[in-house]
Amino acid sequence: MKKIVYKGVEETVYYEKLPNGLDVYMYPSDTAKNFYLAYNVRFGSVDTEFKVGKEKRFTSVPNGTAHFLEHQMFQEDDGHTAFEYFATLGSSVNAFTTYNYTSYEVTASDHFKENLEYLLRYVENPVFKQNSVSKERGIIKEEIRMYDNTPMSVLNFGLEYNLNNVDGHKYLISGTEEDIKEISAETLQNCYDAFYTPSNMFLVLTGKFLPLEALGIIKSVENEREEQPRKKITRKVYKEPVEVDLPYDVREMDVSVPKLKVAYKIDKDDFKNYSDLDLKIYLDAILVAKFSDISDLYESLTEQNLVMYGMYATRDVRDDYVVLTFEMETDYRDQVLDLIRAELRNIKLSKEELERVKKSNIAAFILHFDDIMDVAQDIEDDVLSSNRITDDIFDIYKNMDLRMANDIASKINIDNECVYFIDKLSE
Amino acid sequence: MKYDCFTNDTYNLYTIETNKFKSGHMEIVFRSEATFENITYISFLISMLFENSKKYPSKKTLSRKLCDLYNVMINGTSSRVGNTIITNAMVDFIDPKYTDMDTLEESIELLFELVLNPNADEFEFDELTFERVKKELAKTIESLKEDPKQSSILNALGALGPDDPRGFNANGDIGVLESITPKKLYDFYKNFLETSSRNIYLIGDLDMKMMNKMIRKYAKFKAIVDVDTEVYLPNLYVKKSNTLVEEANVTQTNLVQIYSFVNLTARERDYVVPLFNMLWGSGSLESKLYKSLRGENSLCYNVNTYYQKYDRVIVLHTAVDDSSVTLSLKLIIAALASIKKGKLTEDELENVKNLLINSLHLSLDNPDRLIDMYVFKNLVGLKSIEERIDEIRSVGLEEIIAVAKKMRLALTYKLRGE
Repeated sequence: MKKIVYKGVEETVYYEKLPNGLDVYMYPSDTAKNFYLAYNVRFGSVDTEFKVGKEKRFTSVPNGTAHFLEHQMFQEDDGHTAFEYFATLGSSVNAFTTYNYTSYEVTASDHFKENLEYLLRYVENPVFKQNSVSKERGIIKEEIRMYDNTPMSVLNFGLEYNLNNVDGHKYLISGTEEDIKEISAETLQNCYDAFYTPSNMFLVLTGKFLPLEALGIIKSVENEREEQPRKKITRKVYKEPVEVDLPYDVREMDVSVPKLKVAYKIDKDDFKNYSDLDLKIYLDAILVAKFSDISDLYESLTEQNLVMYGMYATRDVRDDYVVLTFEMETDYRDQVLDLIRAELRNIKLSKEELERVKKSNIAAFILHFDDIMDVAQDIEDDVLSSNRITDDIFDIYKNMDLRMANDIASKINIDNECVYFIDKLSE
Repeated sequence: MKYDCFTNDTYNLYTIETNKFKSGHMEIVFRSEATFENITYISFLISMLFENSKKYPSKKTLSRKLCDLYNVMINGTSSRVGNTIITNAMVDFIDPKYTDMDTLEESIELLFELVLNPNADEFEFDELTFERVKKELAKTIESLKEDPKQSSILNALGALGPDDPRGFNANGDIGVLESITPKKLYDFYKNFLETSSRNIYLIGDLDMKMMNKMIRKYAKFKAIVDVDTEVYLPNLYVKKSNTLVEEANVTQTNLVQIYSFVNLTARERDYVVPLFNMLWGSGSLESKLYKSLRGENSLCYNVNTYYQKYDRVIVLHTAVDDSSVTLSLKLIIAALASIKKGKLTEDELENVKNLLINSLHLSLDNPDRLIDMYVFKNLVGLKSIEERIDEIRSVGLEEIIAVAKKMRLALTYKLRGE
């Protein structure tokens, strides 16, 4: 096992690559009373066109397939579900699908061996039957409707739809009611066979357990797994234009305050001297310093009552572009947009602002070790974005450089703006 | 973990010394009576106190100070627990071994600065802050309608009667809010400080004797008042079950039912009903309701029952297509009837016991929940986790059937979608 030590806190993650290609990351904690296990597969909602190995043609599947597959994974051969077995152990089980991956989780305090073995076995031995798929469709339909009744979900997914032209982030993770009509047991089996292979999956274990014992359990299950030739998965890649698909859109809903979300799409080539990690860290710092509650802009927006409850700013570094988003509730859409644009055009961080953000980052990093699920999430984020643990993040934060922050800030352009607005219902 | 109590003139300091965490957490916990007016005043007050202070007169200056103290987190909440309102003023800080003792002391001082030195003159709160916070709170109350689940549950509880605390909106009432002025709120604040009983709770890898001395420097409370109101609400009396239907601009119909209990013993209330609740509709996809409505009939994504122990009710919620409401109601009744008839196995009961015990164990890894347990030990005599596990383990099937038979449907509420 390889030992990876997080600098600054001296916490250790153990890593092992199994002969079948499965990556295992383990963060044991002497003080935790519980453990968290996550079996992850690099198959998310954006993966709808792919080919495996030497296949010549791409396979296309409907939007929402990864999410539908996640729902069906709990079904077992004899009509039972994986929930039943975990219920006998008293464990909490869950699963979720994102744009980029799917995760199957177990949280418990006892029966480590049984929980880990069963997590591996149920994820590795699914059953897809047409009648079960038909039943699940009704449940997912109600899930989709539930989100469509929630203004914040409509805002988030509405903006992504208009921001993107061909990128997979355009579509709902769950798919639409129309999309899921097309999904069959065969679709799910094909996707499972393509993506749920050891080399496309990784395990993250955190909390109360012994790494050697855990690895022994994993190896014994994986040794029984049918040997699969490692086949490369090729995802169809479309170059996403930097121009947005629809710059402005509005939907009326029964809301008490209108909701505004605006995104700026920036070509990644504009930041070509910087790594994705650089961009994430420095763009976060810029957003905190200039758009969070410590900023002058935030103060003027709230003191003039232009926004309710403040503003929420985030960044996302994607394959072809970087996106900065700002979300708020406001009756003064145009005025607020003008202030955000003006701020983005003239960003310059001071030394004092950067020092403040550094302290905040360091504290947040240390605090994550108080929660075994936060540690697991950090590991998953690192693995998915760079296939390595960022064990030097403490030093990276400490050594953040003002010149670099301001160089990145100077490259932010706001030509490609996308606005989604949820207005009150018309009289 | 080492538990201790330091008695001071105007409060007690309850401590948990542990090296489990890399952070520390401190709460000032106030307790006051849950009246219709109080709930709005306290909700407003806590938002005011954590917006700014005399020393940090704007949100920006306060937020910058928090960052400078290594992202110390300061927060205020209030929640109704049966007949009482618990108000928590909290600070989370990094263990001083990663920072220094001055940062720790400044973090502690800052919490007391916010609670004891608000942005006010000697008569009233700062008017600009007051107006802004009032407007935000009004919008928060109004925006409940944006969440069909929460609004349908609150509408159903509100239908129990205007004076029934079960139906009070935790954020407050818009009518009461409108009547509040900067002076009225400031008078309420002074009275709140003098009449609400208060204690302080602290968890962390700290020298607690030294911390007691440090806290004493800043905890300048006036006289101690010991409020001894009954926390549990009286039973909800059901003469006849009602049905209420309202329309909403949503695609699903949100269905809520409220169930009350008659003559529960303390053991049933604390250990049997939580297990019954998990078997029937809470806790996992293995509950009777989940299996029936979701698993077998694909009617919904979620169906849950929530046991409100201090309110002595169970609240059921699901969202279904309007055409499925009748079938859903039939299946809900059938699931309950099956428990009453004893169609349960020892294994099913064992599973929910394990699930409940697992959730208790999860509390041990969370500093906030450890503090919560300490607060409720003092408030209602909550037993230790080990004692609770022993009680849970000893519950038998016949006890589950008995509490199912003691349940009465008080109200069915439908927030009807298109």
